[in-house]
Amino acid sequence: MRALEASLSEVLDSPGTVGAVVVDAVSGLGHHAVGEYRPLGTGAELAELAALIGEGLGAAGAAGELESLVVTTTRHHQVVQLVPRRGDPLLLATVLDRTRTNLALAIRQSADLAKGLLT
Amino acid sequence: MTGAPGGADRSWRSADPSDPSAARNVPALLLTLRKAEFTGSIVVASTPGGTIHLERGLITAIETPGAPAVGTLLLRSGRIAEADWTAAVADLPSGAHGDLGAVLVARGTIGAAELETVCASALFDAAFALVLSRPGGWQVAEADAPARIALRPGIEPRRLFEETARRVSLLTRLGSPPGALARVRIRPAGQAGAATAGIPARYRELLAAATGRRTARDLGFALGRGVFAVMLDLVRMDARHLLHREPAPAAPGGPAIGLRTPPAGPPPGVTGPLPRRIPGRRAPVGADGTPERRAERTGPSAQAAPPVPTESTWQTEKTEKSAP
Repeated sequence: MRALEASLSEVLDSPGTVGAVVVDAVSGLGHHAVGEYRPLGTGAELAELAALIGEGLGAAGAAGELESLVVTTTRHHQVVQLVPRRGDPLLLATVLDRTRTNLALAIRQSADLAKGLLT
Repeated sequence: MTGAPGGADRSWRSADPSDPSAARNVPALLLTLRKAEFTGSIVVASTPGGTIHLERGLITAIETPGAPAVGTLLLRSGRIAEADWTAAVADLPSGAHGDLGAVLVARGTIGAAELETVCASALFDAAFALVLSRPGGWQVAEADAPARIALRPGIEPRRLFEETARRVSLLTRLGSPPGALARVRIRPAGQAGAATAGIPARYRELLAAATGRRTARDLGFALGRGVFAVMLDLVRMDARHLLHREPAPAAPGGPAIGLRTPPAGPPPGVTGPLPRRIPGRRAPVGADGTPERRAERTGPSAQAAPPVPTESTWQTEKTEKSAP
């Protein structure tokens, strides 16, 4: 997992990011994790959360597919970004320090990072 | 290929040669080989069986007919075009056993990070498929060629066991033990067509591919997706009443064609031998030559009588059977 490890290290370099994981969005298989990623829970939990919300949105009549989730705690923002690809998508989940993060910028940054993650 | 202890006699060499023959099962063997930092492969002889590739005791690839390999995942999902794949195979520096993954990355067909995730997905999915198969014997082979596409460094055996156990227990918790689910053939439920508006694209693809003849494994191969991922989606779709399950054959390893759903409602009432049609007679007759009870009815009431309750069901079955 050398190449993915390198990609995730770059994610960790972005401002305010303290931890990151890449998991399979369907199977919940955890591919790689760096930094302080424990607040995100396991890969299986992340995949289940994304599936639950994605399905719920569709069932509620929302058009389009789930792209990202934001969970805010008193200390962190957690941004879960879908990484679309041919085949089952991945999830890039990051933990951001609230005191050092502008949430709007963080979401944009997360989307940009997801685009470059697999190259 | 029979009996676990037979594994030791094929080019085995380690600090403690008694260990592999003492292994009770493949997981125990993997732990032993991890300690010995073994490089080579284990050929598992169960049905469908497979080959587990090891480098320094870490699992780098698992090949099994029970789950799509990396190549199948990449090609069937449309991630890599057939022509690019063929060109990469032709580019292999050291013949058929070269590092195909490295060639694909070097040619720019796929990024190294993405290939790693696909390799890991295929590896864990194959382990899941192996667990579903009935246990059999195994052989340890040190001289075997490494897998053409492998994950390096490989996966720790314990990680593999934990993830596989999680997958089995998750499906079981959701009400579909994978062993039984693996034998079920899937087709869309009657009302699935109307309900596709609010469902994810992935589910729509599965509905389109579910013909009533395909199992979860077949769907995985057809769409270039992992068997576990397909099963998980199927269970979630089932919870939304999008699917119809054809019951599993009575015994695992039985005939390839699953038993059909028994007709709803009362049986037609034929207890003796099946009716035969005789040339020149309008109604089918029983085996003893007497006209069938149902066929005896005449007049408007018989013509207006509803068809056998499950006619539409059988119609569907016939269509399916005659499809290519």
